[in-house]
Amino acid sequence: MESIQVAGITFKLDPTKPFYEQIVEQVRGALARGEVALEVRMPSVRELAQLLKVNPNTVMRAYQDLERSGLLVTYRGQGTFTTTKQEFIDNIRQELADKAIREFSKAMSQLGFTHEQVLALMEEADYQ
Amino acid sequence: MSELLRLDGINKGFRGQQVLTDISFSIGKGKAVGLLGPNGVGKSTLLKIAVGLLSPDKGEVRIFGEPPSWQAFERVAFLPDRGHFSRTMKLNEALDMALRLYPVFDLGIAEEILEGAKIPAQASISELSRGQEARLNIALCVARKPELLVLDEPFAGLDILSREAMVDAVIGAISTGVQSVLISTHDLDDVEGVFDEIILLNDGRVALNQEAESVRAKYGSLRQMYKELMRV
Repeated sequence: MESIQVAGITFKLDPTKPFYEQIVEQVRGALARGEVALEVRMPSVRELAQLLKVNPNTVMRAYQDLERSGLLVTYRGQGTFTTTKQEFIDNIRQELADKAIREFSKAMSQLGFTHEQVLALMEEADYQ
Repeated sequence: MSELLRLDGINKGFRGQQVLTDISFSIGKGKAVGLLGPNGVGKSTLLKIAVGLLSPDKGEVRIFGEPPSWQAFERVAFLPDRGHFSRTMKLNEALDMALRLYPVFDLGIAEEILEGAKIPAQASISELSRGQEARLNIALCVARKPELLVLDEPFAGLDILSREAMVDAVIGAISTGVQSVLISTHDLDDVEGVFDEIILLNDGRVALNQEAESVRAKYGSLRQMYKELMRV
């Protein structure tokens, strides 16, 4: 599926995985990377469903999940907005950083590097 | 009542040839259900039975908790797979007729769906492209704000933009939360995201009846599921 940009978020859905999880992940990622600011109006459930060509119940479920974790807030009659609280964003940044490090460590240990060797490589590496 | 349509143990045959065997399923409020299966498996027959245009040989149909009747037709819109509108009518005449004929007809919804179809006001329906006619048909159905919208192969043979317009119209209907949609299709391109639930027909029987998201989790995609289950 082609990628769709809306409210600073790039959505790209893979039809081989549940859409609901992908929408949640992609909104979380965009918030963590600062691609979407605080207190930004999100598209309505119907608008996002039509843009992504997915069932509105799927979008609704993703929004509800994001509301439960505080990342989105819905005001009656006004719509859904990204959170006003930087601490929520900091929490997902930390969570995504932990995940990236776990994956990286796993890949390095599978390649046979020790913790010290990995740190030394990191020092040397020009990974900008 | 959250269950709009229920079919129980439906059997149907034509001239001694069994087409549908022991079909049971139900559709809840606000759901989009995809009826999948190869050409000729009996999808159209099943849809006609569901809306009361054909009687089953055996089994029971309940729409809004009642047997199908003309009262139910006010709350159901059915789009058959072959054209049904007067060929000589023009766009405005078709909309006028719909306004006079149907108890509910929201012209604003129809115009929203027709926007972008670029239908010339003076062209008769027989002169429209396939995509234009499809959009007119779906507009006429959705603008009635039916509680149950039944579409038989609405995407077949359409160009990309017309398909998208059809999908948008369907998503718009489900977004109301009070309308349900039952759609038959033999091809999943660009439309597989629309469904809440999937019913797969094979050899006249229900081979699968499951939530679309769990099909994706289990089989990898609707397409993959279709291939795996149709092969056996």
